[in-house]
Amino acid sequence: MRISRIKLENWKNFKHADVELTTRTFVAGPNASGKSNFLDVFRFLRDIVADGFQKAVDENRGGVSKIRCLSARRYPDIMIEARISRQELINENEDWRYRISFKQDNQAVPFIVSEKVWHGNALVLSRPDQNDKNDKDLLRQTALEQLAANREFREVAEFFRTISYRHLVPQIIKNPQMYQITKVGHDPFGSDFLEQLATTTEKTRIARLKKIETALKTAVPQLNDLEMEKDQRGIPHLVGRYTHWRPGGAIQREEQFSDGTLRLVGLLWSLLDGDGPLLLEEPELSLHPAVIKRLAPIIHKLQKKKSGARQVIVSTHSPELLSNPGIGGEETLLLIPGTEGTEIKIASSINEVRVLLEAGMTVAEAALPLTEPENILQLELFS
Amino acid sequence: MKSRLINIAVEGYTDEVVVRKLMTEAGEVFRINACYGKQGKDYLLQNLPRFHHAAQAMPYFVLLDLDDKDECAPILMKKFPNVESGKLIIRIAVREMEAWLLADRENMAQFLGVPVNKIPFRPDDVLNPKQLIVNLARKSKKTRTIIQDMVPSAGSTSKVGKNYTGKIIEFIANHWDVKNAAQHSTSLQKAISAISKFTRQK
Repeated sequence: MRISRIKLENWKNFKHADVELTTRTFVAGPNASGKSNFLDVFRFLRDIVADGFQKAVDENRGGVSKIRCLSARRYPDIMIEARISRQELINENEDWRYRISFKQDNQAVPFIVSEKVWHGNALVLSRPDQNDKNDKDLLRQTALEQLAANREFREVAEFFRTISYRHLVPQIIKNPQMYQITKVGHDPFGSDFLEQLATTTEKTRIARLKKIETALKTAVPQLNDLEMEKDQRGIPHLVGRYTHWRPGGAIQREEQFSDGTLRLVGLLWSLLDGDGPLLLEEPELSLHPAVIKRLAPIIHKLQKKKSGARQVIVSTHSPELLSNPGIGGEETLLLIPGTEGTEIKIASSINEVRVLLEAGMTVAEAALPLTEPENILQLELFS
Repeated sequence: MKSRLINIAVEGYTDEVVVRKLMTEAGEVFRINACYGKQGKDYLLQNLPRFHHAAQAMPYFVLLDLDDKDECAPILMKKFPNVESGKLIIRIAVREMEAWLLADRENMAQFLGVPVNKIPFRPDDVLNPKQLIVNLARKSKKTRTIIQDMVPSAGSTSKVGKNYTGKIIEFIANHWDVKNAAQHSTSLQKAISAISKFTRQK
């Protein structure tokens, strides 16, 4: 399953947005345009199911006032609508739609204004219902997060639960004890990466590391024999053999790996791990441009699963990443900031970009110039 | 009056700053939608047919340097027959955009801290204007920063100083008088009149 369309009202930078999403989607935009905030919509849906609505709003995001768009007028509701398609194509009769809108009460407690679920054209859930009217406190929880209430659309809840987000930080993977990360479940920054390696069954782990090693051959040809090893205290480590002038080479642990190597290993692992939507934040960081250029086809190759293609949404600043000729304008979302919040546009829907793409330019060449900050000149004059 | 959206395509970052200034001087009739290229001259030449195709959706202004390899502007233009469709302007700086900056002789002399008679009367005739600016900066009597920023340190493989671009942009933004410069550069004059002609088109 995949999220095939997303509609937003007053979510962070986005006063209003409505875009279709492909199985592989790239999100490009200038700094502070809201790339992470866009990915956060999907994390929020996951958080509702995994942590509950109250925690997703308050603890994870600092409350309704931190979520509501600054361009929003007065006190409007925040709305998210996700369309979920089973197939590559949108199917009006089979798709699910989940819509939630919420705000906060006088005590700044988040509550649900409305929650609706459709399966095809049939309305499966519609809140507030009579129970909610009799007991207003019920509106502090979504039906989505409650097993008793989501029976009719359990599939949707379980699908949201499979959404994962990765913004791997090599320093955190190397020294997880130095960072206090209290997040339950997967840590987006990779503090539990080694733990994940250890808890994966041996057969799967070996198979995945083998795949990763093969993929790494081009970027880090000196690295061989990737495996997981536990030290005397039982702490798992990633080890590999670096070939050099000595015949046997040298065994190195993750703390000796370069940032780029570790990030690439983590990135490939997260693509192989799971089959729910994967959100990748700037995967190009610390990688060589020649490697970045190959990321888009690597994502394509690894997102194919037995159950169909897994959805991958990638935020990026990188012209190299977007210079791959296999990336379509329909796969690329451009975030364009304005006085009324950020607009999200599909690159191929912009006429002057589409003509350049048709003439044979890559997305990087045709679309990225639109996301360049207009007053970049100021940076040069700064002294 | 509602301003018209236009795309620009240039060889490099400083060219972008120059074109933005020319568009502003044209009286705010244009609003620049996006700046394409900035990957050197070969890239622009290669992609001219694409910009030509794309000009059907939104007009393009393309600025190229002539450089010392090419004969002269008319010969370079002949390589692209039928490319000017009224929505695509191609202008060529002779030999480099830096000549347009030198053409504002008085301000450039003051900015660099050199006597105005050191600056050629017809910068379009200078084969390597960028090199000339660096060489002039070397003799600056003004401040140390001109030399420190614009002149490469001894033994460096770089042809320009560590903040050459920054200084050039500072000059374009704060000191460059386009009208004065146009009096000493035919290629700049032609570029300005192409923009104003374009403005009057429907």
